[in-house]
Amino acid sequence: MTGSESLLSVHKLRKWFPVKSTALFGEKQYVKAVNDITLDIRRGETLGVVGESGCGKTTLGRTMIRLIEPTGGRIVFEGKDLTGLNEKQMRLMRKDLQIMFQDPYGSLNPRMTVGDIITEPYVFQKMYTKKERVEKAVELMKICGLDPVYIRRYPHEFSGGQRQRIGIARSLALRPKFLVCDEPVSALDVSIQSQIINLLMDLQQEFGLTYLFISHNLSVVYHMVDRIAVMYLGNLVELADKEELYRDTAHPYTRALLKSIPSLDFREEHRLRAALKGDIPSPINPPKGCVFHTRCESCTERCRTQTPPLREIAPRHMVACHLYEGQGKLVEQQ
Amino acid sequence: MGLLKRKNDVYSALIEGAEGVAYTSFYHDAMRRLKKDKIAMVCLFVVAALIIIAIFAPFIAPYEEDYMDVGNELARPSSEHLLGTDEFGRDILSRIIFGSRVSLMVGVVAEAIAVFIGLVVGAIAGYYGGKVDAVLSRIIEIFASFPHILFAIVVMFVLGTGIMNVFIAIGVVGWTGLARVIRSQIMQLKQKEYVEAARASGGRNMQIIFRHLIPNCLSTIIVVATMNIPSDIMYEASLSFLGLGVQPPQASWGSMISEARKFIRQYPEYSVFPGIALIVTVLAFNLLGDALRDALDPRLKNL
Amino acid sequence: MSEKLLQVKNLSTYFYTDEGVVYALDDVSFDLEKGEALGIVGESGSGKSVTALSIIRLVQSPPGRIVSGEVLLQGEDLLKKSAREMRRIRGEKVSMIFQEPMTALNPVFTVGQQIMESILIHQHKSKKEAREQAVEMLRMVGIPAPEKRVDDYPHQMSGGMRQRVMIAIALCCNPQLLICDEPTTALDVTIQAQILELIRDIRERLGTSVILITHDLGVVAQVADRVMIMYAGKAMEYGTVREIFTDPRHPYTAALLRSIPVIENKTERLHVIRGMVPSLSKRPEGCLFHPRCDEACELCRTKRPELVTMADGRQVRCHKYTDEWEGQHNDRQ
Repeated sequence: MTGSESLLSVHKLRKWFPVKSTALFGEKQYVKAVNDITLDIRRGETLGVVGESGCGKTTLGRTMIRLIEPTGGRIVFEGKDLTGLNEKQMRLMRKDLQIMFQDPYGSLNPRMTVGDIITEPYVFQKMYTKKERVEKAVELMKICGLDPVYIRRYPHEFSGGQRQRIGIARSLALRPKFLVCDEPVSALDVSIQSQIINLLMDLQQEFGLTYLFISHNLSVVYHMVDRIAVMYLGNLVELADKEELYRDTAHPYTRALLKSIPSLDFREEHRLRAALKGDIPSPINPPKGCVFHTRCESCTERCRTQTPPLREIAPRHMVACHLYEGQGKLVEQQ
Repeated sequence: MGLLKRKNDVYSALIEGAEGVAYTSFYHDAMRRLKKDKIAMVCLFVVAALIIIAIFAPFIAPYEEDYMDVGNELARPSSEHLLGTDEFGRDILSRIIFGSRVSLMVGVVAEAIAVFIGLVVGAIAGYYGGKVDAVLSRIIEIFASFPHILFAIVVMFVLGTGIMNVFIAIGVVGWTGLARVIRSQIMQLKQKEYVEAARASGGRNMQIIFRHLIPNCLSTIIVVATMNIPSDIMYEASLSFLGLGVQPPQASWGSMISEARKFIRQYPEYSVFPGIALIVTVLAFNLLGDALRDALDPRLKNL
Repeated sequence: MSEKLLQVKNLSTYFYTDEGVVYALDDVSFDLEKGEALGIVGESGSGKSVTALSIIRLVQSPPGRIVSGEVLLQGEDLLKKSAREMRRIRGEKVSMIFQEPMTALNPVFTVGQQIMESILIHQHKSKKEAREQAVEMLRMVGIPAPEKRVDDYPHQMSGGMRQRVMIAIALCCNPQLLICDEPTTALDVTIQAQILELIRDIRERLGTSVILITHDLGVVAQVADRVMIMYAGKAMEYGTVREIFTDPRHPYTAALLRSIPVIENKTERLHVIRGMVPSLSKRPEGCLFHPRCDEACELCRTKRPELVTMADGRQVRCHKYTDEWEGQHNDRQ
């Protein structure tokens, strides 16, 4: 199913948000939400992005489809450089690049009917006649497991899971090739979560979609995706196929993340121990050197001063950590 | 309504069973809440009655607006003139009935002008932010810093007297409050994910403003406008009282009170009756505004 | 059998709204021994938070009202206490921490002042002593450099730190019962692990009983001794962690456990519980779970099941474990 052909790749993608500086003559400060990230998404695969709050995973997803303008770097989609497109060209490209959101309440306009919400992308792209649009909406609702007789209802008359289905129908309306799923199940109840996860997997099969699946929940990501990218404070720290990542975890942060998942194993000796001390540092003033060194158990003098480059320590297994110096080849010369 | 109906028919024709499905829009809900509010329903009745009186004034009023019953000036209430006559022998009841036209027109037209300016300025400032917002916000502040009535008087002097100019003067003075509310609301709304979704499928700024932002401000607009109408009516009355508004022989409650002031000792009822009309109207709109706020948007409680 | 700290008997809390009566909590009973940790698990609208609020009598009223039941804390019925007595009990005997540590703290006071306030209300101490105790409390909940952090404002702290402060406030009068309502839902996984470890640690060191309310079965497995599974305002199953996780008897519990993605599990598709959580004002006839249950039969559609206590002491609210079921099941085949 997963082809080897690249659908979308980002090269040294960067998004720095300026922060209002407190000092009058101080150096201009930035939140480095996405800091020189290079990765490649292949057609038909699902790439998971995991990380804790403030790691920049949401910004990465939005910057990839230019919903947020990047500060630097390139985005290449099907061989075209998206960063070079003007507003009009970009608007046409949006048919292929869609996004779905976390919050089933904030992502649907409360003053619009379900039909209007689902068909809105056609209005923006000036596609189809009114009648065709309604037909399309009916079809999309059926695909997403909603009964089309409710087409005139308003979002507040639906439950969270159904609203998320409406959101999915809307993001599929333009038949995109690439879909960013930003925490699509985090706001849902456990019993509804599995319905939506299964729906997303079925849709991928049916429409040959490529997903960027953003989540803080490692178990959900592990279930959904082919490869996992781990982010910490705006930096990519590890990227590998999911089995490889789980089996041969390389980066100390990834290891800590995996250890922190509360498992269903209730036995006393298997109970969870905090794997990491301390808090996530502020993204405004990230630590020098390796961003993770303040919480890392294997931290050396070098980690405090030098940023580790991303290196390929095994086939298709990238990690940014000084522990693996000399192993594999450098992916990106810093 | 016709438009809505047609749209529904498209659905019903295409989807089997769709016509049988009940649905409640946000406004259905609001209406249901409003219907429970007894004071609101009384106010709504008063306002509806006023509108009917204003429209059918020539049929309801016993006399013409400018008919002078010569020899019967400053008459006490009688069966011939229910509320008496003024110093020219004109029937006060008829003049109050005709005066309602001016007051309601001020409420509607002047407030429409104010809503238009306030919405455009507020939406642009809130949506674009940054420098645009800084400039527009300063303009709002400059307009808001003049004493309203004084500013209206200046505008009336520049434009000259006349009913149209009253509307313009009051509209130009009264938009700042709404602009501020709309600006802050749009600033919040533009962060919503559905706005982001619209941009992700290629929505233009204007499409987003008109499809997503303004419809979600509508309840605020309705509430603020309803609550502004009474003060607009009062401004008109004040301007007419000062002789700057409606010109004789056209009747306005403000100008009637102004004229009646000369006879307040001998004939207090002459000024009392238009005053009552003014108070009832203003009160009805004010209370209706409160009720609408509660029904449409409980979060606006502290507005 | 050790001594019972808390006994909740047939507790029901309804909300009287314009749309009708919402049966948020319907006839729930459980008890808690000294030093024990009980996990209450459920989805949104299952009544798990209302349970906690009913115990400490903080249900919004109106529209909410505790309509029946008893909440016995060391034999004394909390539902019969006056508002004044209740204020003393909250904090001294029972404390609660909430999901959102930002909104639970007052942004205009330092965390030290907020801890001291709680100490000064309940204990006869001077300001200086209270401050010393506040520093001690912060040290106990694992805040580094507590002498300095005691003068921080809530916004100067991270989410995990704020939750630690909340726990410090809750513990400063050494309560016998700590109720945690989704204590880690707003936190990151690595921070969640820290907080869960802290809660477990407090239990061991201070012997505090804990009620942990969460939607996350994993969190319960890590902290609780016993588990109550709630659905639509009713307790569906009640047993020890081992029993619930290794041998779930209620179809809902079993389905819930199968529907969570687990890393070790290699299955392609997740088990799905079809449909959605019922509205609490228009509840289905019969068993509240029957519209979503794969094993439902005629009996489930018509008769509301009672909580069945089984031979091994487990409680399950399902017709499957009654005598009536046998006949029914045979009819169906």
